[in-house]
Amino acid sequence: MSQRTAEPHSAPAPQRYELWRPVIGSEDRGALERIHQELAAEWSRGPLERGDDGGAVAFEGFGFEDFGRFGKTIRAAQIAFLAIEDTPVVGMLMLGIDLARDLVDTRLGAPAPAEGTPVSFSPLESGLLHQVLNQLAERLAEVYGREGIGKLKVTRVGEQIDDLRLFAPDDCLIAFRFRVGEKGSALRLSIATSLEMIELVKKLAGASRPAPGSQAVARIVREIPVRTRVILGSWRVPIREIAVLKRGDSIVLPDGADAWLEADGVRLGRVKIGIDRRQLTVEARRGKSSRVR
Amino acid sequence: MATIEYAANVEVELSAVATTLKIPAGVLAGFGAGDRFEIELDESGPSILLVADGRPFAIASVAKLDGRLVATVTEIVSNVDREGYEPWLIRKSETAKP
Repeated sequence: MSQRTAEPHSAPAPQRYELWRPVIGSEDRGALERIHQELAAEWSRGPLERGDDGGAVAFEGFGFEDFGRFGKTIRAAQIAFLAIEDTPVVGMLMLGIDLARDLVDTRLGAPAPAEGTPVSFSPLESGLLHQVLNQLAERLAEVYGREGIGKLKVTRVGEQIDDLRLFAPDDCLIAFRFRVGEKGSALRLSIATSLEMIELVKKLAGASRPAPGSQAVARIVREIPVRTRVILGSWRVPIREIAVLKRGDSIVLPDGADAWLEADGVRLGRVKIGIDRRQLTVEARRGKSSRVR
Repeated sequence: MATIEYAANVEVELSAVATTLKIPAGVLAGFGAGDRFEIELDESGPSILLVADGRPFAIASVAKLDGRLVATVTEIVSNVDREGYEPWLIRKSETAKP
């Protein structure tokens, strides 16, 4: 598969921060990044799997962009229009022209067109791309479904970004950008969704956050006093030996190197005991695990 | 029914309890390798409690003799009121990970 170099306009230029842009918390941002990294891995194993090295799909990140500006940075061959059932979230999955051409060339064995040649696709090629786009959308639906975002469906496939007039030029979108191949590769695909996606992710993050009261419970649990005995050693003896024990009798004790902590009959961990006239020290022993039972 | 002689041959677990502490669960959970509790002893010096199958029955003083730790029984007790808790201080290991 040939690798092309990204054209200058394929990467968005830095934007001035505007106050009206939405704010997303770090936890929600992390969740979105993780989900789309997982999606990139799914695509790499499935519809965009390539035999050669460096062909994996990489998630490049996401950002907020006006629909108008976003449309100018995207050169899409085919677009799947998406909706998440029972939510206001709508969006698009866009197969970049260079990636589309590359897929067609690879799968149909056609020679790559010369640089600068206008890119167009025959009905057969368009059919192939449609099939790939559906496979990509299926994997996207699987990941979103698995992550609890919702049930994603493709409402239509088109070739122009404003085919469905889903968004007005000033509408702010969340744009997720992916590339196939090494950094700088022109083989690109993108997802853009309405901002309500953030609300869905917030609900997800909320579900995994501890309940408001649980921190208080955890604090209480941490403060529960545990009656802990420091055991220097133990051994089995017949009752008759205990029965004759009297004041002044002596017992040689273990040296304290192999003692343990015990709470309510449960051994908690091995310790080393140091005894002198004024102080007793109980030191947790080093080792793979101090828990014994 | 077993005779007293037979019963006398029954083995029980004898434990030497160096001290009993009341430790918050969180401190206990975080007690890692190299950490240590320091317990200050009173003027009578170190002593242990001898416990047979969980039941305390004697108190013994402890001393090092010829490099060995030797307990000498100071009191045979049926009801031990020594089951109080010793004050302790924990020192975290400087090499332990936070």
